[in-house]
Amino acid sequence: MIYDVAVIGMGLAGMSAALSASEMGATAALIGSGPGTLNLASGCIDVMAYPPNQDNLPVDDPIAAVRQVASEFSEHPYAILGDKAVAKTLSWISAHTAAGGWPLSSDLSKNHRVLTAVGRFKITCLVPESYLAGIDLPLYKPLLILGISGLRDFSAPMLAEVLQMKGYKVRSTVLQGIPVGFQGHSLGVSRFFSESGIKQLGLQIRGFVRPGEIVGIPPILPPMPDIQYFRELQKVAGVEVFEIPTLPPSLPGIRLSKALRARCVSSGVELWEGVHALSMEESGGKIGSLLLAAGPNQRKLQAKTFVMATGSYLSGGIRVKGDTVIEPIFDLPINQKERMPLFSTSFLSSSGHNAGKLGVGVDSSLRPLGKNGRPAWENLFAAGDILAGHDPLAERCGGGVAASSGRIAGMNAAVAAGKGKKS
Amino acid sequence: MLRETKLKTDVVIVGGGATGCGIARDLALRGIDALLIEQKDVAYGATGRCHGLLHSGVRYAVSDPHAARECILENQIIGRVAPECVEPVGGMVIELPGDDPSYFLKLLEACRSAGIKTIQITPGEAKALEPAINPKVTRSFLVPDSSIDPFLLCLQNLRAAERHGGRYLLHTKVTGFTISSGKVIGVKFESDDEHGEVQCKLVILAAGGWSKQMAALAGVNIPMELSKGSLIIMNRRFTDRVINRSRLPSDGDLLIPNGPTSIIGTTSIPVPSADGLLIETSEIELLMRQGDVMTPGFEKARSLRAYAGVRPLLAIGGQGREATRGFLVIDHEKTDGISGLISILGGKLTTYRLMAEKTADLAAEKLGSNVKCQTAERPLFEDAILPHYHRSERLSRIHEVEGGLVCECEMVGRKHILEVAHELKGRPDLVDIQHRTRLGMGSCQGGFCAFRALMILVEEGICPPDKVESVLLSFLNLRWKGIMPILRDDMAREEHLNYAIYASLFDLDRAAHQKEDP
Repeated sequence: MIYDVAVIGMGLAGMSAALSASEMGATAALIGSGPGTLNLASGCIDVMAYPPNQDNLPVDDPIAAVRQVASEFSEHPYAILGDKAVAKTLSWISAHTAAGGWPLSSDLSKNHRVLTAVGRFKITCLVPESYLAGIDLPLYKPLLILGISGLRDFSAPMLAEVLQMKGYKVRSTVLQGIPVGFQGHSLGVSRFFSESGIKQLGLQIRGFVRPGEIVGIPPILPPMPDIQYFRELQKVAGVEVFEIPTLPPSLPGIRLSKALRARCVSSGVELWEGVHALSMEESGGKIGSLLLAAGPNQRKLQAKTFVMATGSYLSGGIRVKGDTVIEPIFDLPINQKERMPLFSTSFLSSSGHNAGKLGVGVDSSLRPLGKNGRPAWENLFAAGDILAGHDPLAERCGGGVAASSGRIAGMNAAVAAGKGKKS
Repeated sequence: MLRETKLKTDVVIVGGGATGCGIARDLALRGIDALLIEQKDVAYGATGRCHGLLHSGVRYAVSDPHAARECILENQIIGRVAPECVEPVGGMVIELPGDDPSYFLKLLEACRSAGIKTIQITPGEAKALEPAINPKVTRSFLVPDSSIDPFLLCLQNLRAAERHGGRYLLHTKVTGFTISSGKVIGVKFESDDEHGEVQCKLVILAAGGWSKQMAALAGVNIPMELSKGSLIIMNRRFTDRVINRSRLPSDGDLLIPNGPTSIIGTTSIPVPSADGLLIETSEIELLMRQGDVMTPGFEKARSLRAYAGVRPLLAIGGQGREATRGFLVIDHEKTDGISGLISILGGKLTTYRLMAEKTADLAAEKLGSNVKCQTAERPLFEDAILPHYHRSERLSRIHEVEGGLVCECEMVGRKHILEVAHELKGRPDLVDIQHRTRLGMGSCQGGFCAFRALMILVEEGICPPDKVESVLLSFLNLRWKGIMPILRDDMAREEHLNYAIYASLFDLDRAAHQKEDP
């Protein structure tokens, strides 16, 4: 079979591209070599918190920041996408995750402060419902932080002490006797939470909590995109409860990923999971097919158009070879300037690393550029972290760029394949 | 306000490397009261940044026969008195096409006259013993090289010294000496929370790469030069034996198995100071390429970290690789007219005990003690080994650790961390804990387990909550120095994940009090 659109990458960008292509009536294949980096991320969708060349204060209004970045930085993907398309995409993706069982807040007007396990706040835009009670915490709100004995990636006593130091009214309790599994991470704990386990947890919380308190817990509810578990816990506990993100594996990230995957399946997207895209084959001046590795076997996948949403270093979309960064599947040029060091001497500083902004340049239709500065292939589009000119992590804009560029690239690819109309 | 402290002792030892720790134990066993002062943690300098090779002496047999003889004698003594620190892996010399063919026989002969036992084997036997080596090997022989754990060696010397009445101050800088009519009578020091002076009869400088600047504080110049050596730790063992190239010591011709890892070294570049060492990309490329010559496929393997140390060499005849690996005890009363001051210079980790013995001999003579050195016979581990230091022991007690492991690469549990933290007298330093437990020495290089360990330290009241961000930041930024030079492919992926956690999720890149370790 020849698909209309083949998308490489099962992260936020890839799933957005497959969904939007399929909404345009295109037949779509979604290729993923692994579970996708959403599973490791916070479960939030960052839009823009720290625009480039700004100080350490995060911006309040993410869409206004997108608009500003779009006008000031012509190489930033937001300059191509525009703030209207971004705002539209965020509503669109929220609708999809909600339909997939995992609703996100739909308030685009401001950035939120999400409490994390180290006691600092992640600045982000869309947050899952399971975080909502804990965002933008005011100092006067009494908090109870609940820990699980043996869960090594989360310490309720430490978090309470850090917050106390910052002026919050907070106390902590550590629950004993909950099986955590040998590895003691949150995914291990979540496996032991059946419906009755949640009820039991809710009753325990009800017993501990004092009037007026809200309750923060590590992410331990089941790794399924089903908000009902969480609502049930709040109902039984009789108080507002919120999850506090910590080290991966990330349950909120896994749930978000599964919700979108479920939407892809129900939209008729065909999943090719566990296969690596190795290279492509040309056919009549276009990309004709992808060569895939499935275990020891190789397979070919044919399509009219292709979307690369292959991610950055972590996903293998780009790689460091010596002191050069390469794009391994299509051998596209990377926006690496000569003699510019890839990494800063400080691991963590507000200036980030030059390597973070590297990727492939694209034209206004999101087609990656070749060495001559013109689109490398007329039927290849790019989306997500692999786009040059933005630093998804340092600017906290990865989610917004991924979802928006994914949705637009999927639409453009569908149109190029002769389906629907380009928006 | 800094606390002010006044102390009194007979001998102050400056420097907590192998030599300083060795002197501390040697003096303690002779019943001489001594206090060791170290600017950072034990083994912070060259000791902790060498390749962990207990030389048979083969490396110096041709170029420096005297040092070679010292090496083989000390190799045998340390194997006898401190087997807990030594992995007797053995060594293999391989000749590859292109190596000077006359050198091989010269080397064999030099080993014989230095007393280094050699066993000649055929290339086929060499390949059977070490299947990973270059199959083009032309000639080969075996030597008694071993690998040694420099951290454990220092820690245990210090523990033994303490047991026999010795004292030590870590993370304490020497800021000056009190000299009265040509005699050193006191040492001024300073740490994060205290400053003070220790009254003494004698000062021993065993400060390695920092000796020259320490001596300058006493107005004395000492002849030494610094040579930087860079090394890379790989995430697995390529060979069971130490592999030496059959050629004059050069760059990247030593491959040493060390626990679950291998270390390739080294380079040799003159530097002006022991601080702020940078590792060049060209050094990494050279080491990886040379490693690939000895064990094909090496270049594609995963490296974990790079590090650099300085060799504090005697500036007497020859430079860098040609400089002698011998050592020198200087009595500054004789050379500079300053009494009460001794320096110990040069030498190797392998000969640290002998260096300590000769230095302590001179100190004892000056103090009128006639108790003889005991370190060549007396076992280093008279008491139990550091709790949990050895992997097998950690593994045997894992079931006691609720919730499993804190660091799964090195099998370190909560209890292990706490016992060490208490031994450190409550200083919440993740690097110090790392040295004593191997926490974070595996593939994630502490990316995950450092945060877990920190949570435990806060829970137990060892780290105050207002230090959480600065302790984590300084650990991560320091760790980065070793990782940045080798960031490629898989390591770049791992670091990208770590950056996602600590920057994007924990927002630590925007922490107000960014602090970098100097």
